[in-house]
Amino acid sequence: MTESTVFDTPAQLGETLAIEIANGITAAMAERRPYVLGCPGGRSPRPVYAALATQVRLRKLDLSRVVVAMMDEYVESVNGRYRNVDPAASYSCAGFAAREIAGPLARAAGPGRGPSAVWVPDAADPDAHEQRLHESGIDLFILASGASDGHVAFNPPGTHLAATSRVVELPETTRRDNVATFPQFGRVENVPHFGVTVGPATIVANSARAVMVVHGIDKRVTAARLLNSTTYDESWPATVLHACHHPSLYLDTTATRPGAGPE
Amino acid sequence: MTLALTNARIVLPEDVVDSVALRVDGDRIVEVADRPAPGDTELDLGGRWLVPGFVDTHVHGGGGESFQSGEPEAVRRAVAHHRLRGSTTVVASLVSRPVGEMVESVARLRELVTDGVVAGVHLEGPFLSEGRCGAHDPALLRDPDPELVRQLLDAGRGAVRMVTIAPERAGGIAAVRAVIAAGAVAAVGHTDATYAVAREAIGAGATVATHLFNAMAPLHHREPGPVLALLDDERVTVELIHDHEHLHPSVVRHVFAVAGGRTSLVSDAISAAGLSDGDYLLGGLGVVVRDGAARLAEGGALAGSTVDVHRAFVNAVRDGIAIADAVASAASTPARALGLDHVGCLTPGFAADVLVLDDDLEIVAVMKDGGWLGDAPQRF
Ligand SMILES: [Zn+2]
Repeated sequence: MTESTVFDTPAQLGETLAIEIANGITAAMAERRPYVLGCPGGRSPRPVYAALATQVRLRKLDLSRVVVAMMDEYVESVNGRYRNVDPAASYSCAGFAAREIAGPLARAAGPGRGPSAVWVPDAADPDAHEQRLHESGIDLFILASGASDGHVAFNPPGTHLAATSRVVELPETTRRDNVATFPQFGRVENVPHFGVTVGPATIVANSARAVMVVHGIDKRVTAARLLNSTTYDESWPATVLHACHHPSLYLDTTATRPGAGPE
Repeated sequence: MTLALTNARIVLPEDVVDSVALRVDGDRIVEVADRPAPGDTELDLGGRWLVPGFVDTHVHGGGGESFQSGEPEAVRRAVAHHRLRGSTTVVASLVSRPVGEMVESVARLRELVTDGVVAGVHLEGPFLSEGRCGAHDPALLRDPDPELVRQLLDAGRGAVRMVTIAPERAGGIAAVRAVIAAGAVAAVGHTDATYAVAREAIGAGATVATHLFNAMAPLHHREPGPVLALLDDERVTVELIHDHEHLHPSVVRHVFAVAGGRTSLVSDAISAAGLSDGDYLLGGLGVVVRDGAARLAEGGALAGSTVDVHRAFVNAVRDGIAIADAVASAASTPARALGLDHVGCLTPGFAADVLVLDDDLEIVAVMKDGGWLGDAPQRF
């Protein structure tokens, strides 16, 4: 059973999850082993990353054994070959990881104590990402769900539970959701057509714990889908949460309040 | 003139906010507003933390001075030590001494309560268990004879805010009732009580657990003892000494998880708090402080701490307690447990007791009753 918790505010949600991650990092440091944090880009996890930076600062955490493992990246097709978008692009997940996750964490931790690595799947060799996650394991995977189609990472509706890391063509729904995530796209035509992503099986098989973060008015539909399901449903890939070890669903009151939400 | 403290991460009772002004007029907080009012003197805190002054409800002294004698200058110096370290409200705790001597100490401390130097007196003894005496001289411990209880309470004329009792002693439950009838708080501690007897004490009105886990029978699966009785009951506030000597961090996390809203961080500091390692005296017993840990010279039992509530608060945050919860356990929860009105919260009408903390939670400035202690910060 996936336990669900409703928080008053995204900030409280973020602090609770950040404290758990900080506790895990502390334990990993004491045991001299790496701590691999599975991370999405986008709006949903932002309160977690902000709170985690605060925890790192307050608790003087050393992150030198921490790996930030990103779940996906945009891909372009050039002369029939896939390659990751330029990390400098404003919508790049690698860029997001540097700007909004690893960078702030490194500043909070202080010189020489920042995360040891940021792993981003590479469209040229998705299996390499799969393999290193398999070898390291993921201590905690933060998950987020697409608002309108329930995509998780870049896994669109219809994705089989057994799918692993690979390049996928992004459906219209996912690309539309991503205009909201990255307003700088401007219009859906500007969103890349491909992505490289972990698969549901990557998340399920390798994560010791998974926490899905759902907050805000536009996430009411996915909140309801997740609350009203108990197993993986291909039509709403975010339900992969239910297949994970030690899953939790963290919501805020806005996402769970019944009433006029987007449909 | 109203002072507006702005640009801080302010820990309010229900929330942490970072874009409001805390307005202080005289010795009171008057408003938590969106912005300063025209005419306010604004002090920009540069994004630092702003939390209520801490409330230490179990402390024996500090800075080389003890509360034990009630001698005014000694008490004032010990209080000054703790105020500068963030405990703007202090309840003076007395260890077990002959009752006549304790009565005299209480009478002297009564004046200092009236003057607002200390917020009250906590009698940690002499009605404690010999088997759980900790740093109390076992020869001085005794049953709570009603006449002795009355003498001690009367000497305070309301200044005694709390009395720790081992309820299994003869007359223990009656003493709990007598303490409450006198308007003070009955605490269970230094006790060998069974689970049933501890429950009985709570039923009789005891509402505080004196340093839970320390100096009481440990939790056992067939005889849960006082620990589970106190931890489980919604009416009880549990004191924790979180100096990384008295309790394992996992125990502290567990207590916050099951009793977070009624956990209070206390220092249990002795006179050696803030001093270097060496030999000290606590209630007539020799105490050796080494590496910051205070132990009895004879036997080696932990004999109080050398920390302050602020250090316990920082330890709590470092051990994974959410900052608002850690602040509550250092301020509003102990204040509420002892019925200390108008301290422990950044709420209009409350005392303007505030701490400015830097990004590492170290104390940058302390305000007590609207005035800065030490040099008034001009800017941050
Ligand atoms: Zn004690």
